[in-house]
Amino acid sequence: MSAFLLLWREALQDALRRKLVLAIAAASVLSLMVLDNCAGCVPAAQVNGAQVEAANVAPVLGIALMIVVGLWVVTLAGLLAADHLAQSLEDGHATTALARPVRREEFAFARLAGALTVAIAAGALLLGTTTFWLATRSGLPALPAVLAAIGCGIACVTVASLAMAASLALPRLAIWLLVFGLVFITTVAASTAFWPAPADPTQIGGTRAFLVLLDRFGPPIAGAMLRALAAWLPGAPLPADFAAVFARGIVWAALGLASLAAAFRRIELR
Amino acid sequence: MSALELRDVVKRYGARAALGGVSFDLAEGSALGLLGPNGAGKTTALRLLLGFAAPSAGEVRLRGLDPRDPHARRGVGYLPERVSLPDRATVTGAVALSAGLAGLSGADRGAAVAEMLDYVGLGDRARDRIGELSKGLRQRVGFAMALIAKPALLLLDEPTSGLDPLGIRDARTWIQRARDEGAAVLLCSHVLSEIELTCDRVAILHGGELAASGPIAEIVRAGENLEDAFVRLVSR
Repeated sequence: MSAFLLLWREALQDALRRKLVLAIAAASVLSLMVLDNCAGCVPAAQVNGAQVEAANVAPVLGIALMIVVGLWVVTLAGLLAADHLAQSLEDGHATTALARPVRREEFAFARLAGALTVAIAAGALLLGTTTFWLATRSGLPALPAVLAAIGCGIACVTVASLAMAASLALPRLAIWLLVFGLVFITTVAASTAFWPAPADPTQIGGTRAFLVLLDRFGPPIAGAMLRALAAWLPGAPLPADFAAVFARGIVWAALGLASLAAAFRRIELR
Repeated sequence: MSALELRDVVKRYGARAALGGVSFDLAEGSALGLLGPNGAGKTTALRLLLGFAAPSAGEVRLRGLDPRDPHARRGVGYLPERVSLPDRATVTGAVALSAGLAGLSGADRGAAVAEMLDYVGLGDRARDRIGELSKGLRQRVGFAMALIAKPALLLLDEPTSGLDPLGIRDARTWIQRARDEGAAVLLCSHVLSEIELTCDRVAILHGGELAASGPIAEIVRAGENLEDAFVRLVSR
């Protein structure tokens, strides 16, 4: 077995021993119970006093559910990664492994993979169950959900690797705040694509301009999922920029991994 | 080829020099005691030798290679002063991981781990969790991890820390046997009697400088023991 696999197995065991994982398990069970209620769409709904057909409500509800669950999984990946490497440096465990013929990148990526395995397993359970319920109860096709789940996985890699890289310089609380902040701001930015544009372009404020730029060039955390799930809306095909947004997500994930490798290579071990 | 070599090595932390132009080496198959008062630079030297940090100036070689190259650490056994392992890992798991990272695989690894645990007196504690072990028993796990792949170079930082007198005697036996099998040994310790019994040469650091280096017989004057010589050298 390669050094990476040995270290990944150990990192996974470490991740599973953490109290945070118990909280994740409890939150996942609660999420599934909530999803069980939400995903069972009523045949018809009242909106502003008017009767709306389920066929019109289900896609919007499905998108909202998938995005909320997806963002929870991405946040979870970031929180788990926030100290999975830093902790092993603090307790001296990293030096025991790195005294062996192990490359630093191998160690860092194994720690990252350990944290991601837990997050992605939780994501597969939650997103998979949501997709199944939406498909069987509301008749929504599974393909957009599968694409959204892939987008979510790519976003997990990005956020977790950036969080792990930052954890080499910042305390855990700061990383947690950064993870929440990054997920929030990129989600708000992704939603700008659905805002009506002002008739007068000079009315575009600085905040909106920033959000548009972030949506266009930043890590597409909610953006990739939103674009994949937009295919559920009646008469809406996959958005034209779908492939480009996914490609950008992969580029950001690669940047995250590269920054983690560079940061861990540069630090001096105690 | 030297098992390890430091040549004019300087290591600075900001304005402070932890090592200020230190040179020493260790020949294959020999044993060197690295001595010095607290803060003398012993741990810094070990960190440089393991590639955990880069020197500010000078050259560090581990088995002829830059220690930051993972190949340089092939065949190196390291016992840190504080053996840090996850409390919930088992004794066997910890030693097996170390064996795997050292390149042992498959059935060889299982057999080597079992044999090593018997060797360091942990055969009956193989399934115990690390968190259940005393400091001395953890130190034995650390020895097992350092010795598991029959290293060509052993780097030991305060190896008898936390061991009882029987454990100290066992540790001396393990180090001696590793030497007999051809391993070079770098031993950092404050226990000078251990150094005298185990090593044939010493390097004494003081304030980041090399105060003395050479065979023990040349450093110790007539009527002195190593402790007297050490005090004389670091009191100058």
